[in-house]
Amino acid sequence: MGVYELEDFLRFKGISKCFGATRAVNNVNLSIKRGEIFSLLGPSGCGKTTLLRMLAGFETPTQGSIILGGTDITDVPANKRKVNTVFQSYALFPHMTVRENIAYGLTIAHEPKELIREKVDQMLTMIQMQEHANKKPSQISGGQKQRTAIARALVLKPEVLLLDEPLAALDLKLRQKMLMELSLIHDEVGITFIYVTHDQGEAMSISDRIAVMNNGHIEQVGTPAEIYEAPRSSFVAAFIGDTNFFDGKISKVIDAEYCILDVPDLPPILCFNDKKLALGANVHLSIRPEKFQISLEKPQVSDKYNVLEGKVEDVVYQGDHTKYWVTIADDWKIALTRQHTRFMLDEKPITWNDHVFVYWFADDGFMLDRYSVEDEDLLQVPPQAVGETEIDDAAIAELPNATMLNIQQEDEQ
Amino acid sequence: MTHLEKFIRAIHTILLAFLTYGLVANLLGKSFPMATTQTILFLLLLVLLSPVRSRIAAFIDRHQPVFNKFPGILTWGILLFFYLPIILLVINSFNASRTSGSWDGFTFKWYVQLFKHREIWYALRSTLIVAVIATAASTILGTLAAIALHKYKGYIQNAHYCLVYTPLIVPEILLGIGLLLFFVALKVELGLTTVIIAHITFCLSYVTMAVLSRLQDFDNSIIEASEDLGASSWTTTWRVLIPVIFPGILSGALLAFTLSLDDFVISFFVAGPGSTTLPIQIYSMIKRGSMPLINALSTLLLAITFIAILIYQIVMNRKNKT
Repeated sequence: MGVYELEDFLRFKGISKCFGATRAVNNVNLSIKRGEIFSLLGPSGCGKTTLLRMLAGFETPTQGSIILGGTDITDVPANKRKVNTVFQSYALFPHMTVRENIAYGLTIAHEPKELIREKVDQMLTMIQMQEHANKKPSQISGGQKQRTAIARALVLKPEVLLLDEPLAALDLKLRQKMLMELSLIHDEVGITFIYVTHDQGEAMSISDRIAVMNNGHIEQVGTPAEIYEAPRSSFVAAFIGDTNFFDGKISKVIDAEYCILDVPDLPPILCFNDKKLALGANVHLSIRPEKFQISLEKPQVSDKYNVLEGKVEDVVYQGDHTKYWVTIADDWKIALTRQHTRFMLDEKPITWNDHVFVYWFADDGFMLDRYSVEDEDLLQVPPQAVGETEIDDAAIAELPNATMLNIQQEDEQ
Repeated sequence: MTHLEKFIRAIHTILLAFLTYGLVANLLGKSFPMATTQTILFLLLLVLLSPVRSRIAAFIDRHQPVFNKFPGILTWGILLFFYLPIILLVINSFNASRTSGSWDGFTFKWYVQLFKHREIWYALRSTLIVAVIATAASTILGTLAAIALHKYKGYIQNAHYCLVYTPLIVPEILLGIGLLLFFVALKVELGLTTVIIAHITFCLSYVTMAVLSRLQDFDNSIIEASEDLGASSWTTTWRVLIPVIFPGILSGALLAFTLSLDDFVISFFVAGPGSTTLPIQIYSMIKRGSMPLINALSTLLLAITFIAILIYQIVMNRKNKT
């Protein structure tokens, strides 16, 4: 292994991939460090899997090059790359036992039998599948197949392990368990993992760094916290977690740090000007739901807080926290969550149609670089209020309860 | 017992009598008008009976145990219908009489004659040679064709698919004539070679279809997985693709072997002197009237098939248990 910069271990340089007229991947530049868990996160069709397949060698880039450990591997066929993949469908060989599956890569490399046995036993111990070694893939469970697929890829000691939505086929409980196991395996083998997923929760909990992809290009690269707290575009802000967007113009620059933002229909908003924008600049502000506070009385807060008045549109109680949708100035809706750090039954609950104060610290908002209206569709919308839905008499008549009522009435007659 | 029940019973008796009479009459070779009249009468009776259908239902309800046996009786009836001719054939192969109508005592003489009959053994040898070579060739070519059809898409493969599919839908007689014209035009002497080529032609299609259907629910990612783990495409084909689609290849080969073994029409057209296959031999023996020999031969073939299936079942059962 040569000596190279940590940052330059794996690099995508200007990678593009076209399928006919569609550009699945568009001019991607990416540097991945040795030994990190790097996630490619994005909605389906964003090009994340295509990028992974190009790294594995199943697709050839239309443009650009891939450099692994200092050597250009763009034209190296899949079977000559020191990169192994864990497939979404596991892709275990159905005619081989678990042991034979794991041994496959070593067998075809004509390694000595003793060595193969030893290495496979090691892997079986690591994934705790010793007693299932002689079973066929059809005889083991989803989680066990997953572990076998990982072991089969890891036994070859690849420089990079690619995981293509490896947990998508598992149920929720098992997914969380496997996620823990994956990160334990990573700690043990210490190689670079590239993890493709559309599930932000998975990506956030397992990754050292995340690249958020959309429409074939990378929106942002950063640690999970950076991505969440400081999203660069409205897409990232809306795709990772939930948020509120405020669009306006800077109407006054107070000092080096703060400015006043004018948003139509809302009172002036105090805003932390970290981008050092000048008077009159357009601003897209993102404020996460948990950054807000809510109360029934007017809050006693410093002048670095913004306070808005509104009416509670909807309440969704979720045990540890409650989600509120508050209407401000008739057509502004703010989504916010409140963590219940105190015993909740002792306090006066905030409920539907209450007049409330919503306030937040000016520094907790974040100015976005890019904003597009379509991304608002990614935001969670409040469920329709009960009062607004028209009750369908016919539907109620079909309910089992109603039928039973009718029978009772008949009996009485 | 009510009057109605008596009436229904009487009608049943009449119906049964008619049916039996009709069957017997038809079996004995009554004329076509007679059979038609019977059928019409039978249908008329059914129509007349329709007003009392609910009563019949009630009657059936009351006599459940008897009618519950009906599906069983039907099953046995159908089995008998299918296998009676074969049973008769087996019995007749041990019949000392030349004609199948009368029983002149038990004998093995037809089998003895059969073993002395050199033409049959020669025909059997030809058939086996043809079947083995045609099966081997069509299995290899058919598998390759199926893999190509599965792997590549495009105009050429569409045309290829049509070409492979055609022999399955074209009447055999057309295929036979076509092949004959082809061999004559090329001035190829008709013989075992032409029969083998003809058999490969149609067996190929069956093998391709059998393998292709197996390939259709084949997970392509395991091919990628194999290459990802360092295998060349040659290694992948031998270690992954072929083993996984092997059941399809095997069933294709068995199908080809069976089809080749009992093909008559195409063989009849392209066979030359000295390349008579068993089906053609049997046909010519029927024409010459040596029925008892054919009975014996058929019984032997039946026994071989039966034993083969039995062994297969035993092996499969044992395999499933382990």
